[in-house]
Amino acid sequence: MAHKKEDIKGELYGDEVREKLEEFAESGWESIPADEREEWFTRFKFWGVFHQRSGQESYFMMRLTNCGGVLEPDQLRAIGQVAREYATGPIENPEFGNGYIDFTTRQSIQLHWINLEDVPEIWEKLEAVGVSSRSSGGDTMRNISGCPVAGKADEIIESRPILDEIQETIREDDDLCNMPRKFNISVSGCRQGCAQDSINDIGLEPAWKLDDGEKRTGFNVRVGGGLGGREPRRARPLDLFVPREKAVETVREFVEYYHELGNRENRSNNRARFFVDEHGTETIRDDLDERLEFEFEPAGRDFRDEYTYNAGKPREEGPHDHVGVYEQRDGLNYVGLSVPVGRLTAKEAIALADLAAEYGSGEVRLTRRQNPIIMDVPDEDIAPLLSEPLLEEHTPEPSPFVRGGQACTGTEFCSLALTETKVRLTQTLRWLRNNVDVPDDVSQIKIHYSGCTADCGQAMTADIGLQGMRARKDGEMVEALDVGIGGGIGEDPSFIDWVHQRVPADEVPGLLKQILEAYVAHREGEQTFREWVDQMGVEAIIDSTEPMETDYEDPCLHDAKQSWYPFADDESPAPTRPDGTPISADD
Amino acid sequence: MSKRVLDVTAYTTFDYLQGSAAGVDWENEGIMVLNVDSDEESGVVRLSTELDPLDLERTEQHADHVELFPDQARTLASKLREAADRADMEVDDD
Repeated sequence: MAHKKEDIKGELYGDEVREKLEEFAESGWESIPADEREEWFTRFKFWGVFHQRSGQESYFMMRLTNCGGVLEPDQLRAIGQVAREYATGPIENPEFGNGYIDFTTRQSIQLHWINLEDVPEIWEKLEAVGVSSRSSGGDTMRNISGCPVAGKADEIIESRPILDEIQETIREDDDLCNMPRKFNISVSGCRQGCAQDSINDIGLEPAWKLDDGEKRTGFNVRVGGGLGGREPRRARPLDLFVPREKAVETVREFVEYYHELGNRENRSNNRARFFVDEHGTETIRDDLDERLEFEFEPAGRDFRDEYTYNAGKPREEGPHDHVGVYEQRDGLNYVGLSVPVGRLTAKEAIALADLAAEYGSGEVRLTRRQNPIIMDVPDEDIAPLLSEPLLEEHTPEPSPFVRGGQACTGTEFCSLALTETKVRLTQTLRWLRNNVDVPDDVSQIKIHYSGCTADCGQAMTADIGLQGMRARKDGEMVEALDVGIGGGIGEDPSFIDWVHQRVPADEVPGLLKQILEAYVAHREGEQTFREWVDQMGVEAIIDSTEPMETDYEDPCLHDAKQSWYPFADDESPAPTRPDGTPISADD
Repeated sequence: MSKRVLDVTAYTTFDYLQGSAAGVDWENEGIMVLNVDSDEESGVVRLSTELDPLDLERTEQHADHVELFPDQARTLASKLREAADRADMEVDDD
C-alpha cells in the first residue's frame, strides 16, 4: 500500500501547489483548516516553504534554490533585503539578532520567521531578480551541486553547461516533480572534488580514456551515496564512463528509473542509497544500458587520487575549501570568505552584495561548506577589498577552527533536532580560537555539528564530528553531544568513529581542547588531523582524553526540555499575524 | 566501528534510558535508546532498543527489534500500564 504522503502528493504536487499556497497567503494563516495542515505543509515544501517547529506555529522557513551555488549580480542583495524586511521573528537570536540568512551545505540559502501572508510578496521581489524557491524541499530534486567556481577556475571538464542543462531540462520538468523521496544530483568538473559526488544519489566525476593514444575526457557515474546517521553510504561506482555529450541523458535516465521503480510504500528506507542496496549496481547498470541508446563503456580513469576538498591532505597538495584568495583562469580572482556556521545578518548580506558589485562583477557563489565567494576581482582591487570591515569580520584568513566550522539548523527551528547547534558552535569555535594553540601550518580542522542523527550538518565527514544527543548531569537532563573523529571526503571517503558519547554540552570544548592538543603534540611533521587519526587509531585517543568542564559557558545547556525557542524564557506568542500580534489575543 | 544503528532525533520515543545486555555470567549496563514505530509495509508495530555503542564491552554494536501485531502491541501497552500502576503504588508504599 502506498504511503499516505503518496496520496497527498498524488492529489496535488509540484507547480500546482503554488496557486493554492498563494490563496492561503491571501486569506491568512488561519484559513488553513487545522486538520489539513499536515498535508498542506507537506505540499508547501516543494515550493521551499517549511512550517517551523512546534511552538513556532504560523512561522515558516523559506529555502531558496539555485544551480551549483551561483548567485547572479543583484540576487544576494535582493535576498538580504527580503531577510531584513520579512525574516524577523518574535525573539532575537543572542548571537545574530533578528533578520539573518543561513548558507546551507547544498549551496543554498534559508530564511527564517517568514509569515505565510508575506510569501507572495517575497516571491515577487526575489523572482524579479531570478531567484526561486521551487523544488528546494519535499520529495524532489534538490539543489544540483557543482564546483562553485565552475567556469571560472581550472576544470578537467567544463561542468557549468552540464549543470545548467540538468537544471533546465530535468529539475524544472514538472513531470518529474514527485520523486519517491528527496533526490540529490552532483556534477564535478574540477580536480578538487568539491561537489562531493560521493555523498549524492547520482554523481558525475571527471574521468578520461585513451583512444588510439588520444585522451578523451568524460565522466564516471556513481550512484547511491548519502549521509544520515542511520547507514550512511558512499556513492557506488556503476563502472560506467559517459562522454560529455551523454552526461545529461544518463542523469535523466537514472532519475526516471528511480522515479518509476523507487519504493513509494516505506519511507524509512526508500532514499536512492537503499534503492541501490536493493537492486545492486550491476542490475542498475544493465537496466540503464537497456534504457539508453548509446553504447556503454566501462569506467575511465578517474582523478580521485587528486581530490583535496575536505580530503585531509596537506595543503601543498591543493585547496581543501574555497576560503582565501584564488586566481581565476581569466586572470581575475575569487575571494572566499569564512562565515562561521554559515549565518550572516541581513545587513552583512547586503554589504557583501555591495562589495561584490564594487570590487568584482557582482556575482557571488556559495560553497558546500556554508561559505560565500566574491567572484571576478581584479588584482589591484584585492587589497582594498580585504581591508573592508566585512572581510575583517569574515576574513579569508580565519583561524582553522572558524574556517572548518559548519552546523545544521538545530532546535532553533528544526523539529527533528535534539540540540541547539549554531550559537553553540559559534561560541565553541570562539573558545577554541582563544584557548587552543595550533602551529601555523595547521589550516584545516573541520568541525561539523548536526543536531541529531539525520546529520544535515555532515558530522559524519568531519575531522571532528558532533551530533546532538541528551545526557544526565547533576540529576538533570542536559543537551549533550556524541563526539567522533576521523571523517572526510576525498579519494577515499571515511566516516567518523565516536570517541565519547553523550558528552554534556558544557564539557565538549574541554574535550576538544584535549583532542587538539594531543594532535599538536603527537603529529609527525606536518601531518593533517585526519592523517594523524588514521595513524594513531581511535582507541588511543579515547583512552587519553575525557570530557571536562572549563570556563566555557554553554548558551543553552538545559534546553533539553525543548522550549519553543532555545533561548526563550517566556511563553511563545505563536501563532501570530504578520505584524507579530498573537492570534489568540483577539479570540 | 561505533555507529549508532537507530536514528536518534526529537521523534525517538526515549533517547535516554538505563538498560543492560546480559549473558549467563555477565551483564553490560549502559544508556539505551528505545523507539516504537509502525512498519508501513507489513502493518506491524516495531519496538527497537540499542545500547550506546561506546558502553558495550561484551557484545558487538547492534540494535534489537521486536515486531508486534497491532493486538499484541495493545496487550503490551495495557501490561505496561498495569506494571506502571504497580510501580507507582510501590513507590507510594515506600
